[in-house]
Amino acid sequence: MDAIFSQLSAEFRKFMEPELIRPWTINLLYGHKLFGIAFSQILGWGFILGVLIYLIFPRQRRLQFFLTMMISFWLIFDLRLNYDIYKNYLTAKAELQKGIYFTIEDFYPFLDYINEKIAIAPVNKIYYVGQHWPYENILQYYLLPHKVVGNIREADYLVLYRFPFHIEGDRKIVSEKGVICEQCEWIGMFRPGCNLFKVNKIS
Amino acid sequence: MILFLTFLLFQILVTNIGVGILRAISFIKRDDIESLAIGYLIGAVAFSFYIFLILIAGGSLSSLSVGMFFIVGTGGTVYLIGKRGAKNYLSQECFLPFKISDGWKKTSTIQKGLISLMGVFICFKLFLGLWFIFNAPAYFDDAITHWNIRAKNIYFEKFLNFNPENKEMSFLGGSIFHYPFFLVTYKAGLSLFIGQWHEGYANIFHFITFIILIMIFFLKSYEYSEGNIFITTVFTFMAASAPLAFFHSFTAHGDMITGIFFVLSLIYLVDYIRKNEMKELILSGIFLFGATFTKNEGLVLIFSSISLTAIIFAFLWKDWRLLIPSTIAFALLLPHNLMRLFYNLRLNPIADDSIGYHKHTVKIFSIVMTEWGHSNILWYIVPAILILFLRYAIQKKEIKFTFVALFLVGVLIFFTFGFTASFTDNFKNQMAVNRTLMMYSFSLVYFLMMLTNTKRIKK
Repeated sequence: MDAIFSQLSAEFRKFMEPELIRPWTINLLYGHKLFGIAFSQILGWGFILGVLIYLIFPRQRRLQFFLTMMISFWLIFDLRLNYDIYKNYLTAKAELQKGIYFTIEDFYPFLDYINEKIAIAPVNKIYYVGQHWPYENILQYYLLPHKVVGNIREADYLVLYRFPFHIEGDRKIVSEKGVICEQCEWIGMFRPGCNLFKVNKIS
Repeated sequence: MILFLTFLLFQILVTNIGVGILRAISFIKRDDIESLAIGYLIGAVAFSFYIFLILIAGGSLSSLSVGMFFIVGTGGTVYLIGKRGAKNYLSQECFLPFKISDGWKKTSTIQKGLISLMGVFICFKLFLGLWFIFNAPAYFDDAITHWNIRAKNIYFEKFLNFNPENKEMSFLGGSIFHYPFFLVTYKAGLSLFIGQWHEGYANIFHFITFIILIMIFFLKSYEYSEGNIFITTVFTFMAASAPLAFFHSFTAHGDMITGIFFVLSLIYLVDYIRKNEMKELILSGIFLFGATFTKNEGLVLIFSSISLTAIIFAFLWKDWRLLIPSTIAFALLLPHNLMRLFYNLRLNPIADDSIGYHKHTVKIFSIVMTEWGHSNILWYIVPAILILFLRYAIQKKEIKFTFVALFLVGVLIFFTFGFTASFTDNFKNQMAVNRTLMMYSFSLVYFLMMLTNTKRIKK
């Protein structure tokens, strides 16, 4: 009996695990499963069973019965979804205080830091080195009107995000793959791994 | 505070101009909440289209160009109000054209409980959606790369760059420039008006449009069900609780907006069929344009289906006025379509032109529609209601029309994802299919509402 109860309890805990916001959440929600069966399938077939009962229901109250039954199944699904939405809200609220938003760690406050350090005018060109997706797109968007360029020679600033490097001599930034910047002046480090440099143009 | 007041002023001016346009096409039945709600959307479409025209004419996004819109628009609206009177404007009837308490008394206790639960769930979603708008950073990739970055580029660059060689400016707004401009020029213009790019104020349009969807569903369901509060709430709630819609209400994607324009276009086209009033057709045309000017799916799936359905029934019923919405949308979309032809902008920039059936299409559709968590049980309800109610309803003209239009949209969705390169780029990897189905779901819920209320529909 205990084994059955603990199995049921484990199944329920798994069912109640929230589906947190991920980069694909805007495209799809996987939903939840109970005993290996999709929750929407369980409710969907429950509704179909309800339709069969509806067919034997007295004709006068049929529509009211049908709609009450239909929306009850819909509400059960929505209740489970709302629990996920609430968990997402709590997670976001707690994490944002630390500058984290779901899968993106400390990048947003780093962008705020860059925006503080770089004057809004004139428009500057920024070269980014770090994990490409989705960070470069977010950087490009948040730092507007400054432009992100694909070549260090065009850049006014260099942003290094969680990318191993060392400084050779006075101002040469080097990684395992080679030289990133010949003449870069270190402006500051927001957190370990979040570095901003001013690129000195070599005439 | 100043920022908020400026934002509020922008919304009031846009709504005012939208209501002015409604007056110009004589839609004002009452100066009620429906007019204010759709007036807001019409004003937004007009504003976005105006900014787009200014930009493609080589003009700049400036205080002068934005100011001109509001001066002329507000002047026109004030003139129309002066000419036709402002009866009931901002009166009690404006906000609730009916008494909910009458319907409430006739509702059973179980239904009252369910209505309360649905109301709480809607409020819960709206409250948290609003929280995310003003607290969450830009996160979903398409919201950045496809939509907001183009608006932000135009806001800062002030002009539309037509030269792809010019690296100092973004070509046609930059990034995914193949997409239409509704949200792009609207947000660029709004940001100029409020004096800065503000993530929350730029994205709140999506949230307000979601509220308008809820309002219009409530009003239409109330009308169809002849004041039955339970039926009204059921269909309003179904439209408001499409699972993906919550996430789209606070992020900058165009899918939900396209879906809302689609259902509004359909609602007013159906209203024309029911009431035979020309003004409903003009309204339907404006919203059809809104759908096509927001996303390419609006052109491929919605415009083509509504137009083909209108052509079929125009011949069958010898009612050529049915072609008016498509004609309006086509005419308004002409500048963007000419631009599309001139720059060879593809409808789907990432897919090639290959055509052919992809096996597993049916299986994937079956899984995403019946097993995953983004559709609730909609895809169980749709066939059940069709089987149970369609045979009683199909003799109604508006049911025939809506059925054919939605059937065609469904066929086109199946064809697009099952027969074109979208299978690999947007379907197999789940990138777009569920968003497209959400876009479709608002209109389906409206159709289900019509079907279950057939006996009540007044001619």
